[in-house]
Amino acid sequence: MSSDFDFGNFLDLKNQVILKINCIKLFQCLCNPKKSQKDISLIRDNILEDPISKSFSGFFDVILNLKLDNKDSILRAFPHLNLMIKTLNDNGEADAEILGTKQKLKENLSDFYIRIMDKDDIWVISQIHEFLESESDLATILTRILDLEVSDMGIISEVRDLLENKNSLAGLEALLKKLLSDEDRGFITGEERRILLDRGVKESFVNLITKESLKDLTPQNLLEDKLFLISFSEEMLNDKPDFIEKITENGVILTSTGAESKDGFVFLVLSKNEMSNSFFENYDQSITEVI
Amino acid sequence: MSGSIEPIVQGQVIFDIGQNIDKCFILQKGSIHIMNSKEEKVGGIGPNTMFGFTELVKGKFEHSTKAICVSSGTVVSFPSEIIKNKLEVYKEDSKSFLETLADQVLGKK
Repeated sequence: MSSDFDFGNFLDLKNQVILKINCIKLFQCLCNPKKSQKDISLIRDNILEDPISKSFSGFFDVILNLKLDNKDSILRAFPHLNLMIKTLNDNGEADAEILGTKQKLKENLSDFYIRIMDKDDIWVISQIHEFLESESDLATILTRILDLEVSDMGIISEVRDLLENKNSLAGLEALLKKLLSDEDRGFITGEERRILLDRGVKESFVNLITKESLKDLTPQNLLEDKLFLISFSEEMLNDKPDFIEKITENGVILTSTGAESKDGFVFLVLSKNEMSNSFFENYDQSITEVI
Repeated sequence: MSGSIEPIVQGQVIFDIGQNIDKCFILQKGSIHIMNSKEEKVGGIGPNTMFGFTELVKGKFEHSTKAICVSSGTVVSFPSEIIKNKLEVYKEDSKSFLETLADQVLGKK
């Protein structure tokens, strides 16, 4: 529930300062929710009654739904609080609150690291680093690791150990790189991507190729087997109804997309063997080799 | 009709000449130049300033200037309906005064 954007109250910097300070206080309390239950309820109510917060429906709803017995609601509040704190102007009047909170959080970072038990704890730490330094590299890497939906306790422990190290950023970067290379979902990256670009496949096609489509292929296949681009229209399927069947018999479809012309399609196909090469080279003029 | 926080990057056109005025803005961080159709700068916007609404005061619903971000930052945007609704309650003499101010801001007088 929220009302119209109240630009009059928003333009009054004093109001922005009050909301910013309340957001900072709430952020700090949510880092230790069990220790700060009374404070959280009070600050939450202050924010909900604030004339500015009502002007931002997404933020308002998250704070409205913040419940101390609901961990998800607490986790959801962090990025909204960070965004508000980063956005609100204060003419330096919130500096003391920011500095004090940053100091306390920095002093307790090692305690937060030691207490990491699951991915939610890593999420909180990534949000703390974002608070300590806007657009922090460490926060970005932690979020990207979480985006891979890691739940393996071994990886969670590795993140914890790396955070406790002096050179945590380099260690976490290396871990992310390793996790990305092991990842079997999403679009191709690294070596596979480079091979196809070097072979002359347009970047717009390479960007559409998923790891799933390459699961039965080796780098050698990608490097040496013939590649064909097939551009055809729906009408063509009337003339050759078994066209797609023949393509899948003879090749591996790396990706398919709509053609620029209406009702058209483009397939990027890797040929399976010499006999398939001959098929693609002679079957239809819509098929051209990528050289 | 609530507000949204939007990042802006250097070189980004926030709105262009001829575009419908769907949203108005408050610059929170960064800086913005307002350009006329000859690509001449007619104004600069600093933090905590509202912009993108001036034509509404003249009863027009299309931008007659272009806003370009010259240093990255953040804007708060909100639906232009909010300003339109506020303007509807102004009396004729107040409207005339606001229109004169709007002309000055748009560099027409």
